[in-house]
Amino acid sequence: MGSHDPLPNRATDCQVNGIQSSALPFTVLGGFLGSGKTTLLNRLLTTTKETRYAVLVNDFGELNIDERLIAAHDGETIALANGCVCCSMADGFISALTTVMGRATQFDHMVIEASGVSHPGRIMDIAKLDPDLSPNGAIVLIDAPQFLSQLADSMIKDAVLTQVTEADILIINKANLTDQSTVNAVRNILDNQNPDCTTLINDQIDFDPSPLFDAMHMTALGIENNLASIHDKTKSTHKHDQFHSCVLRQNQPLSRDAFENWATALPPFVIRGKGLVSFTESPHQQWIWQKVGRTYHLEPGSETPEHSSTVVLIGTEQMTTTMTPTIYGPFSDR
Amino acid sequence: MLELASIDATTDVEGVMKDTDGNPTGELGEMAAQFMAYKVTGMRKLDGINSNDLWSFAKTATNAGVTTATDLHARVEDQNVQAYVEVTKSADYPLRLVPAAAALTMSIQDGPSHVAQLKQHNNDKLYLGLCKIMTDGSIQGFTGRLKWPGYINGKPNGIWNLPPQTLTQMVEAYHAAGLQMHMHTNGDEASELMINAIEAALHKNPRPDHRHTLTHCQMADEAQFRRMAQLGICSNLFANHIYYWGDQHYSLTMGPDRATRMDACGTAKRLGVPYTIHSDAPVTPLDPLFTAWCAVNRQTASGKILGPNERIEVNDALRAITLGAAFTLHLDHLVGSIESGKFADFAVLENDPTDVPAETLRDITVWGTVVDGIPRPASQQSN
Repeated sequence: MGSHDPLPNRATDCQVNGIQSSALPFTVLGGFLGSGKTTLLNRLLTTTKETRYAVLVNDFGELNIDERLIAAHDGETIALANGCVCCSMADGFISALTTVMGRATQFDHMVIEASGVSHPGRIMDIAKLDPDLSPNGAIVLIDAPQFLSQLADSMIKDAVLTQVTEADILIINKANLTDQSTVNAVRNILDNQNPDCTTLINDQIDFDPSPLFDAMHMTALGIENNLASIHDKTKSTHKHDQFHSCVLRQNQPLSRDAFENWATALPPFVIRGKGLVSFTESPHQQWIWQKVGRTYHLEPGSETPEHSSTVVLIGTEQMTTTMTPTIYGPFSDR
Repeated sequence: MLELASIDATTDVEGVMKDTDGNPTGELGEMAAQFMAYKVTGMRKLDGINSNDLWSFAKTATNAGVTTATDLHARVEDQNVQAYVEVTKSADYPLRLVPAAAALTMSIQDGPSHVAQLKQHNNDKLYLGLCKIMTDGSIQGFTGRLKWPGYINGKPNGIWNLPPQTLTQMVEAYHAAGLQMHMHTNGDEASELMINAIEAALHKNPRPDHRHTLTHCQMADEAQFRRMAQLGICSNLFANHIYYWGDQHYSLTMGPDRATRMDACGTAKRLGVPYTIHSDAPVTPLDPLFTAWCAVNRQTASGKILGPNERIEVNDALRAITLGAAFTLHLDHLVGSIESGKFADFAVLENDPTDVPAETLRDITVWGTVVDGIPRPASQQSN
């Protein structure tokens, strides 16, 4: 890179909030040609405040980033004023990934824009293999008006269905451009193809995608609240699936079995979860818990004198109206 | 290396091959495992081409009797183009080069004009302006795109390098710019996509004698060859595959029916599709006489004759590796035959290939070449 000023080091941030593991969260954004990946990434890059994303894209030309946001443009890389970086994969995926990994400490999150025919699972395998990366979900966009005709095209059907199968979060995108019966038909196919997946419907161009990636800033965990608290982060005018969060806290160490049973059984409308938990077996050892779609990871964090556990859940409106023990789990002890 | 990459029996990732005990064998397929290999060994992408590379390649070519060579997936960055220009300006350089620009490394908007502009660097030994479209993967890697019934072992269909719609747009753009394309198509579904794309491009921008060429074109069926003949599409068949992977194709990938008609030189000849044959070096060794031997004998590594009806005569094979290749590069007015008015380029052989048994075609010793009228002895002659 050129003479662009050095960005703050992520390791420092880790010490501050204590929750980030040293591995860089790695999200794959998939979906067939025309499903809205570029629009979504553009929104993510231009609206993010706290999170510095490194995004690997297929083509800058399509991204069309507002010139005023660009701090430096150096060949295959565009640096944004908000700390994000966009790297083109025109020179090959491995080459772009290696370039970005070389500066991994300058970012909080890596996002890969899969090509329209890529299998997200194969890309996610990289994060499974590389200890410097942590799998953070495959988000796959479905082109609501086109999906049914894509399945009728033998040249692309298998690629589209594989993307559905390998997704952690599915978004039925551009729902506003088709009718309700088509959306229902699409939804049925997705539910059959990937029954455990979180499936959202989006009918807006300007929705804020950051909660899908990882918008649970750990400041939220600092909220002093023994009980579950519900925040409605969205405007009430939105009709369809919007994102809501809730913070759950427990001052006593948790039974690991009870926690894992709860985490496994969380319904699909809980899209993401993240938190610091301590278990009865070794209360001083904190664990970092991260859930995306149907999968979650638990990894050891730092030692702490506290025995408390706090998690944040992000989900659809259904989550706020279903405040049952399924959601509270071991945190419901008042 | 596996240890460095923390790859062991517990690793559950596609592409990490394991033995019967569940331990990794060391063979790494797929992108994820390959990325880890690059990462822990500190290897980055391959550097660009320099003039030393091109001189040593030319020596290899001379040893094999090659006078014109094409790199059918070349990166055309400035550094590489400079190297091409530098070596080909030398009278001592014993090879004509035809690098086909890799279209997938450029945007559809900028690519065609960039490739067209490269022609300004051309000289008697350098022919830029051709471009290459990659469509599917490989058959033996189960990544080639196959029509029904697909892979006989039940593996899912292969992969496209880009969405078919994008590949079709790309063909339209390069065709509209007046450029010639070679298309990588291993599976028959990939061939189908490209035949459809060329047909659509020709409807929009009719153009006689375009000579767009399907490279590999390994599984094309007779109906596809008929369409290719009608549309003026050439084929560059991967005859070496019959020897190197023919047994595997017969028993594991496409099965007997399709394996016995793979790389169908006989059909191409019969239906009038202009054709040449290739080694895809470095995938298999550069040796045109060996490639000709494959097309003539269709013998696999195990000794099986794979589809005797698709064999061609020695004279056909010799034409395929000379004038046939020159035709698919739009260079048949300059090279590919010994004629007044063309370059004095030819291979010098120790035996007459038409005067030895067809089974021994690959055993003929190459003395060297003559390029531009200058004798260029092979390495073994220089002592």
